[in-house]
This record gives sequence, C-alpha cells and structure tokens, in this order.
Amino acid sequence: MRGAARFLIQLYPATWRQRYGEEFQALVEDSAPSFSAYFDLMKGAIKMRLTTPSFPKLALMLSVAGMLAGWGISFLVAPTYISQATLQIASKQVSETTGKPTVNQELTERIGQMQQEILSRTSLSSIITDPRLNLYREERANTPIEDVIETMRNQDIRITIDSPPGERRAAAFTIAFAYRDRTKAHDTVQALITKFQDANLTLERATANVKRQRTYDQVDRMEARIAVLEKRLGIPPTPPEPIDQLVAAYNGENLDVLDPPSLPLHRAKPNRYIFASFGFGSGFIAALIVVIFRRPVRPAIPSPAQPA
Amino acid sequence: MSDPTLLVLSSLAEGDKHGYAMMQDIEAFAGIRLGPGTLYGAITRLESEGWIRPSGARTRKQPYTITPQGRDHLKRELATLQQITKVGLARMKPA
Repeated sequence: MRGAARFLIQLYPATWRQRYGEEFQALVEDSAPSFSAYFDLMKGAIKMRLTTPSFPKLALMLSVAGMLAGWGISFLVAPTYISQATLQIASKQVSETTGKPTVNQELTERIGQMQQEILSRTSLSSIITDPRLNLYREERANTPIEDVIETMRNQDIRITIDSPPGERRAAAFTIAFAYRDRTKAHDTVQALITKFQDANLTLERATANVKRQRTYDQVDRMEARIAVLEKRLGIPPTPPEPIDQLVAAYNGENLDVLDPPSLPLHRAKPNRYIFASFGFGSGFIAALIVVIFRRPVRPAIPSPAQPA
Repeated sequence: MSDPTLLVLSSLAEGDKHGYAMMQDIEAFAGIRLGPGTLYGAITRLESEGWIRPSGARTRKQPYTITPQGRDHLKRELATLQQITKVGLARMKPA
C-alpha cells in the first residue's frame, strides 16, 4: 500500500514535488493508509496537474482526453447509411428539331421537372408512409409530417446531375438517400427510381400527346386539301382512314438505370475521425482557456527559515 | 465551513503546525478528515497567496505559520460566515 502511495505522489508535477515532495511524503507515511486517502492523493494530483502544468503539457493532456471523448461519443450517435443509384436519360424522345448543344440542357431540365414532382409533398409522403418502408417512425411520432418531409427532402435525399463531359445526347444523375437502416435506405432509393420512371412515363405521354395532336392536325389539313382537289377533278371522295392507326407506339425506354441501388455496408455517419478531431481541437481550446483564466500559482521558492 | 483553506488557516491561527498535526487538529475541531492531497492542495494555494509560510528550519515535517495577511483574510471570511450563520439560524426559527 505504501508503494501505491509513493506511485501516486509521483503523479504530482515535478516542480511541485521539488518544493513539497519530502514533507508531503512524510505526511502520507504518518497518515493511516486507506482507499479514501489514495483516492484523495489521485484527485490532488489531477488538480495539481491542471493548475500548475506548462501549456504544452496541459494542451497535450486535454487534447488527448478530448480526442478519446470524441471517439467515445461517436459510438453514441446513431449510424447513417447512404444508398445510391445512377440513372441515365437519353435524348431518344427529345425533340429532334432542337440543336445539339441544347439537347443536354433539355434533358437536364427534364430531370429537374421530374425531380420537382418526385420531391413534392404528396410523392415523399407516399414513400414515407409506405408500409414496406415506414420511414422516420420515431420522428413522425413527435414532429409534424411536414417537418419530416422537409428533412427528407433537404437533408437525406441528394439528386445530382453528373453528365459525362462532352456528352450531349444523354444526361446521367445520381439519387442518394441517407438513413439509419441500410435496407430501408436501399429500398427507398429503389422507390425513388420507380417514381422517376413513372414521372418519365407521364412526361413521355404528355410529349406523345402533343406530337399526336400535331399529326392529327396535319392529317386534317391534308385531307381537306385532298377533298378540295378531288372535288375539282370530279373524283368521288374517299372515306378518311381511322386516325388511331396513325398514333405512334409509345415506349419509355429512354430512362435507364446505370447502377442499381447499392446496399450500403459501411456507415457514412458518424465519421469517428471527425468526432475525434473535434474532441482534440476542443481539448486544445480548453487548455488555452484554462491557461488564460486559471489562478496564477506562484511556485513557492524553498526558503529555509524566514523571519516571522 | 468545509473549505480546506479556511480549515487550515483556522488551525494555524492557534499556532504553527506541520501537515499531520493540522490534519489531526482539523479533525478534532471540525470533524472533517482532510486527505493528504486535499490538505497539501490547500497549503500550496495558501502559500502562493502569501497567507501562510514555512516556519523554522526545513525538515521532513515542515511546520507552517499564518501570516498577518492570512489572519486578516481568515477574519473576513469568518465574519462573513458568522453573518450567514446568524441570518440562517434566525430564518430557521418557526414563525
């Protein structure tokens, strides 16, 4: 037990031991050894280290302590997984009359249109409340659905357009979703892809309808001219052909999934290194504050006998 | 009164003492057993403030003496404590 006391005395700063070490050791030897006394020695050593050390030592101590604390805290933060997929939209259905340099721009605008629809309140709400996904269950219990949708839209979903340079007839974009459950992150990206495909289909149909209407109008005009000519030439009029046969078959094949949704194996957050670095920095700042504001302890100079 | 510095000053107000004697005296008059780390933490602070100083020749059982500034500080602190005790006890009386 005495050995433990001697060891604990060694934990005190050297400058302090130089001044008080001998008499302190005499006191420890005279005192009854007990766990509370050893605890008190240890507590005193820590306090003395915090009040008397030089800045480099204090900074090192607090920075390392902060780093370890940051690393430990990172284990308390719920992990987040990011699943992502890459899609490509090609210019097959895009107006061929448009000049080449603007094709990609048209595609980008088209992605923007679809994105707007997919990130709408109705669309996201349907994904969140889908019984197979049942996202943000805890959040929905405590906050309004509007706030949950905002969080999903602004923080958890990332849609980035990353067309290859020089590519003008196709635009690629990435859908990423961050969530605490890796499987649900994957399934949500799949749901978003389905929504994109549906939106693309709707847009395609709308485009096809416009084209069809133009064709109808052209056919009507041509039939009117033919009727006029037939009348002039005295030819009996021919009955018009059923117009439905003129409608071009529609397909939505211009939206391709280049990379299917990934099942994330490693968490994206929390980044333990960032937490540890933050802890290290905080410890360093704490050391600065301690040094600035601590009570200046003047190390007592050994003085054999001073006059009273 | 559990501030170790005040306990040490109160102990030295009676006369010079070394660490172990202070520890025993404080336990006797206040019923508080100061650990060696706490006692020497208080001694370090009191000496740095100039309220106590070593007395006599340097030995392993170094005695300390209270300085006039230390005595003044103790007086002020005890007067404050006395006032607090007086008011506190008066307020504790049933209405």
